[in-house]
Amino acid sequence: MEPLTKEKLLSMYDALLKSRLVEEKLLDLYSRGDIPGLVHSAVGQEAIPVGATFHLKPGDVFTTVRGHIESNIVLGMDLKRMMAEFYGKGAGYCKGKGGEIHLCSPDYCNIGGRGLIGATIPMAAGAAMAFKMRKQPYIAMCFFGDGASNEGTFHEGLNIASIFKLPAVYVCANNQYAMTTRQSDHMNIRDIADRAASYGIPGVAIDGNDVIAVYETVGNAVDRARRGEGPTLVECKTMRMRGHYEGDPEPYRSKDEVLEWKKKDPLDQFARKLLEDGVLSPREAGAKRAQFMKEIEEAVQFAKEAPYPDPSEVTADVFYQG
Amino acid sequence: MREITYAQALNEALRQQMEKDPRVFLIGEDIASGVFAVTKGLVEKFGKERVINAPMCEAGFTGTGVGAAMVGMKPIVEIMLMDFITLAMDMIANQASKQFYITGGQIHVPLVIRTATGMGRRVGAHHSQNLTAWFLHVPGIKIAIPSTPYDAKGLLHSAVEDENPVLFVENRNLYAAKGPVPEEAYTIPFGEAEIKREGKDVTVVATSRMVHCSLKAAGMLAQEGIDCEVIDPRTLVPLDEETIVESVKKTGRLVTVDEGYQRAGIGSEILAVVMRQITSLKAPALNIASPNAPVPSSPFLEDHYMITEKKVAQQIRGIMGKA
Repeated sequence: MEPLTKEKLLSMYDALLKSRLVEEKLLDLYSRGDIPGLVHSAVGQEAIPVGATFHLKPGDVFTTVRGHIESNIVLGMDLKRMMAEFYGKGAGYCKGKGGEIHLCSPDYCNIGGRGLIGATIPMAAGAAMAFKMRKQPYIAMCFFGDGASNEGTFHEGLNIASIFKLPAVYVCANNQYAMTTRQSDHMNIRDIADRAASYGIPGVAIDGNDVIAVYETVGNAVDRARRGEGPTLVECKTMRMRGHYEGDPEPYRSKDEVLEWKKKDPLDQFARKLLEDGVLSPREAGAKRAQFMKEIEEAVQFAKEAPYPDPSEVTADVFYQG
Repeated sequence: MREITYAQALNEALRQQMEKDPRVFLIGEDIASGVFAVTKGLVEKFGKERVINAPMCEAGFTGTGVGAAMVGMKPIVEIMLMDFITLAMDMIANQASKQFYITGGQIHVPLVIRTATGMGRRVGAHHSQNLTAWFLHVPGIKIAIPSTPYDAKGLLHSAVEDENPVLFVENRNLYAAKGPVPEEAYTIPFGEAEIKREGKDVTVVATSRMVHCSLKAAGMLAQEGIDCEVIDPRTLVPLDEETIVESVKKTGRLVTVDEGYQRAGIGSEILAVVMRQITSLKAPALNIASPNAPVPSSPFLEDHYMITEKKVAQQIRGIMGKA
């Protein structure tokens, strides 16, 4: 695992901050009816994709539900084209055909988000199997949530990854809600990481709001995968701070829970640490925020002004013609 | 030309593709032992890294195939019986089929899913079905359904060389059927139907084992002065609409024969295709398929359930006014 140099800590901060600002911007745009479809906010959960994605290298892939804005930011995806995708414009990475849920760009390791949870788990095993067969040093990282860990494909995929010792890393963001159902109502265990025992693979449960813990734990899992020792299940505990989708009235939980977790906000925690350690100054933090806000505004402007795809795109790309 | 069985023809295509292309690998339940002999001898030749015995988990190993295809491999997934494909529907209908489209053309999925149908084995409702029609409804997946050893080999070569997901529907009641098959590799283009028998009175469009059943019925009817034209579409997506429609224009009568359930079946689709292009027929179209009932286990009931050449001939006599 690469050590956490000052430079790395700062770029991790950048990714967390930029992710947060993009997430907040999306909420704002969605509330004003600007963004079509659905927005599944991951505000307050950014440390998981950020800390994990820092280990991905060109050639690696990740797969996820919903487009994982944070991972894309870490990997350097163009915000303008990302935003254009959310707006359903032709300049989007998927020509507007993927949207928020399916955002994809293999140039940035992202092989696509899925609308059905659990599917990614064997699919990541498949990508990892390809890397192993081709004797490549790459890994597949699979992001999913507590809800997906109840799908049959979780069992099937982890079992396959385990028996074939595939270079895959399974990162479960346990935000304690599967849509509207709390974890204690959808499984009879506290730690999803315990499920790893069924497959004879390591399972680790950590604080998912601590970006350093995520970085280090996932880093160990990635190193293990690259050494050919097989998959790991990392459970990152967090809390969903918004509804399942924007506009969800959330009658199923109290506001206190969210307020309590607000104190453990991953960005605030990490910023405090960097400020205390003298890695970051308040002035730098302010400057970064202003710079990212500007970038995001430019991206939104670009997306709004970008033309819609040609109507012929409705039936284009059903089959690969090459 | 030498004659080999349908299963041997498939085996030969798999072997030739694996020799040619290191991206090709096989994954499925018990394929290293080769329950149906289609994969016989392949693990010995290519090793268990490329002929992968998967655990019993259709969604899991089909999804593994989808994931591997997305990063440039050419997996051939085997779903032992088509009944079991129900367990892998999300992977086929939502993931493999839609990947190219939802990524705006960034990631394609060169995946073949081989599976076998075939009733008459007294094994009941979960080991006999032909569910091909379900996949006609899904955008983004091609469907090949060979009826002869020659087509089996050529279509499988084409399926593997195609860069899209292909559902390859075999028939285990045809595995032992022999026919002429060239030794060298060859492809049969998708979307080219074959006219198996020319005729002027009735167009019979049949798939898989029903091609043979229809040819036998046509032989019986020929002695009665009814001249059937039997067409095997060979692939359903893409479908050679032109050959079928031209034939119906000539004969003025349309019969479809397939082993799937009748309602919303392969035949229903072919009827729709023809109706969109032809104003009138000389007789009502006939859609011969399995009853809208599960396949029964009782030999007596299954015999009544199944389509036979006698039943096909009898129904065709009906639309010819000679019942």
